[in-house]
Amino acid sequence: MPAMFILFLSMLLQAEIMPSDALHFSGATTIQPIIEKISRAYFLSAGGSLQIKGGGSETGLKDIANQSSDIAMVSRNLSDEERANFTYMTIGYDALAIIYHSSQPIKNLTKKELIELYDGSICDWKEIGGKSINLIVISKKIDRGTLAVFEAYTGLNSPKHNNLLPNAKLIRADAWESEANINATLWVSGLKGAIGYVSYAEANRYEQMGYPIRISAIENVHPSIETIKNGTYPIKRELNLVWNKENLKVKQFIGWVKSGGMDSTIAELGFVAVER
Amino acid sequence: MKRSYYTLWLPTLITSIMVVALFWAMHIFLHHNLAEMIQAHKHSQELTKKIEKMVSSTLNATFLGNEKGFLKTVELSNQIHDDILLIKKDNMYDTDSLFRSYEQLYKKLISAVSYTSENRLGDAKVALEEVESYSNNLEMQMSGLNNYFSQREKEVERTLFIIMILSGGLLVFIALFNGFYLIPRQVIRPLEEFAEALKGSEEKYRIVADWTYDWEYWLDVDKSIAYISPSVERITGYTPNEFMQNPSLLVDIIHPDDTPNWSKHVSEAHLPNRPEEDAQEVEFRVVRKDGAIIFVDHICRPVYTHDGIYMGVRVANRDITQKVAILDELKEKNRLLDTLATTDGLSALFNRRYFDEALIKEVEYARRTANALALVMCDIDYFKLYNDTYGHQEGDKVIKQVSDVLKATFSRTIDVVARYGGEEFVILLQATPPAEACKLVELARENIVKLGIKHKGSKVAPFVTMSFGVVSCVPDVLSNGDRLLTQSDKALYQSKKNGRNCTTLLEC
Repeated sequence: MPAMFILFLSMLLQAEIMPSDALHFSGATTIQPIIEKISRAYFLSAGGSLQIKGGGSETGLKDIANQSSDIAMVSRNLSDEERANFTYMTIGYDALAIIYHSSQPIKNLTKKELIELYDGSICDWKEIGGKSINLIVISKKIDRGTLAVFEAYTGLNSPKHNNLLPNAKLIRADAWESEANINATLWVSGLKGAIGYVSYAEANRYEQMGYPIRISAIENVHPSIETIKNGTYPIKRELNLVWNKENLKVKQFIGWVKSGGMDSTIAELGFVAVER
Repeated sequence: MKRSYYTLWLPTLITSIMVVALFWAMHIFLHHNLAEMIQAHKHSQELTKKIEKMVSSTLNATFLGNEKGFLKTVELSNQIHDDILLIKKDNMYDTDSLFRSYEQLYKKLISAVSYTSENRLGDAKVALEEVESYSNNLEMQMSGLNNYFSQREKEVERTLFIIMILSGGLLVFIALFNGFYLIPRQVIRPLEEFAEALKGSEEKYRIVADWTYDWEYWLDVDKSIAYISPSVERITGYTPNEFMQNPSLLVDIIHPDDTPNWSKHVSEAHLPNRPEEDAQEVEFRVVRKDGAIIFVDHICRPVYTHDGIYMGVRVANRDITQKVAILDELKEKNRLLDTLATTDGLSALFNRRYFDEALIKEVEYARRTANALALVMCDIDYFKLYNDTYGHQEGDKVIKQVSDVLKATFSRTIDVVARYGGEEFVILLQATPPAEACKLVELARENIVKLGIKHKGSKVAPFVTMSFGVVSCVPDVLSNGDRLLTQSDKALYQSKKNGRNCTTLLEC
């Protein structure tokens, strides 16, 4: 085992550098690539530096609340409370893609099957007509916007929530909890029995790159820009940037975004841009 | 022999084939098993390397921040996944915990990747430490699996070796068992016994054939002699060899007078397609080598094999010369016996028994033909005195002389002259009316006188004389034999009364 290599890599990773004048982003990894991609363009056109971290939508919101970050990337619809407390901007729309290993011949899942796959009713793919293999359920950590979107669609809840209702339907307890989109994607593509859900744009991107994943149709509708736009694909979400009203640091960046500096990147990465 | 041959070889052959097939199948199965095991072992060894490779390529891609680099991770992970499934499929080894360990390793490794991608380097470090512990755990399991395979491989190899030794040993045993026990016992000894029995029975047959009293031979289809019994020499004087060298001798020695009979028999009987049980018989004479003529009874029948193929003719010739001689003698004796039964020994005339039978027949004949039948009864006068004077021997001579005269006088073949008892005689004359009968009787009486045999005791004359009583008539219902006898007796009595040496005729 390459123990030496791991040690070396760990040492490298510990050398974290964080410039103080930069604009700090944290939150949804679904939005993360958009920001990462525009950071160079923004630096060149506006001269500002962007510092980006993942951690999930909830983490992003927490970070702006305790002011350790400037902008939260939230890859879900905002609650009324959140809308009241923060300033926000919807930069685009995304869908939740259900993915599994491409060696599975199944092309479509019903909502019912999706729920059964996640609540522990099904343990093997053959039970829904697939190739027999032990099912590995991949969910998301509770601070992830994607989880919230999934919970909203299926009615299932992560067992890790603190304030669960007594009759709440739960995602199976042994489900693996993924973090960033790449996490769920690599788990699904590396393990043939796994099922997961990620940002449609991300899933599409990885699929294009040749990762052995299959994006499932839900109720016979395959996710695409069109089905997301016209609302026939059922699991749709907003991509939001959220910040504190009093944080003036973000003003220049938001202005740049509003001028359309990000729209082409959003479309390029497979998201649905907001129509202005 | 046929049956015993198959009952011996078939089970042996089947057993051998079964043993070979069974051991071959086991061999193939185990060999296949071994091959699978080696394959699985190879997989497991490759697996260790693949996991190492997967981890390093993942870390490398993470370090370089290269998303496409993770494709290598995914590809290797899928291969590892398949390899574990293959090990699981081919072997009894429980790979489930191996699977779980690998999944945990992969889970943590990817988590580290994920943290790194989100710039959460502290979390990534913790995850990597966990990866190391999982990888150590997995390494231990892999070495356990490899040990398991090595041990199993050794076991299978040992089993294969034992099976080879066992199957070889068993085949050698079957071969030895057949060679030294079964074949000598079931094949060679019965064959020898059979050969001995055959030889014995052939000898027996020859002894029986050679000792036959009759002259036997077997004519082959080509008319050559297949066998001829030694008894031919006793019967014909020629040796069997002489016949073997010259088969035509069989015909040459037949008496010329009997040759046509023989030829006829040969043309009828010495043919194929006659039923086997149809024995044909012919008698002929044979001229022996020494010239003597003997009688032979020839019986022949055709010979066929079990399959019905004609094999020639079997002949039994019996010397019946002695039988023929005895038969001739018997015929002569019978004739003699016949004569004795109807003839009087002293006079050579018919006896009284013959006369009694003749009387009945002659009466019937005369009645049927309506001819006169004459019955003459006569006796020698004072014959008792003659015997007393001259002795019985001289008496017998007189009877003989008188008989000759009577025989000579009544000389027709149909005349019956019989000695009725002592010095009494009866004569039956067919177709002789009374006058003619009297004339003949007078002639006989005179012929007796003419003999001039001295008789001192006679009160009629100094020589032998006879008295005659005659009856003659065409017999009717009343005048049967008894009646004729009574009447002739009465006539004889009358002659005696009239002074003897005379003839009296009475009516019936």
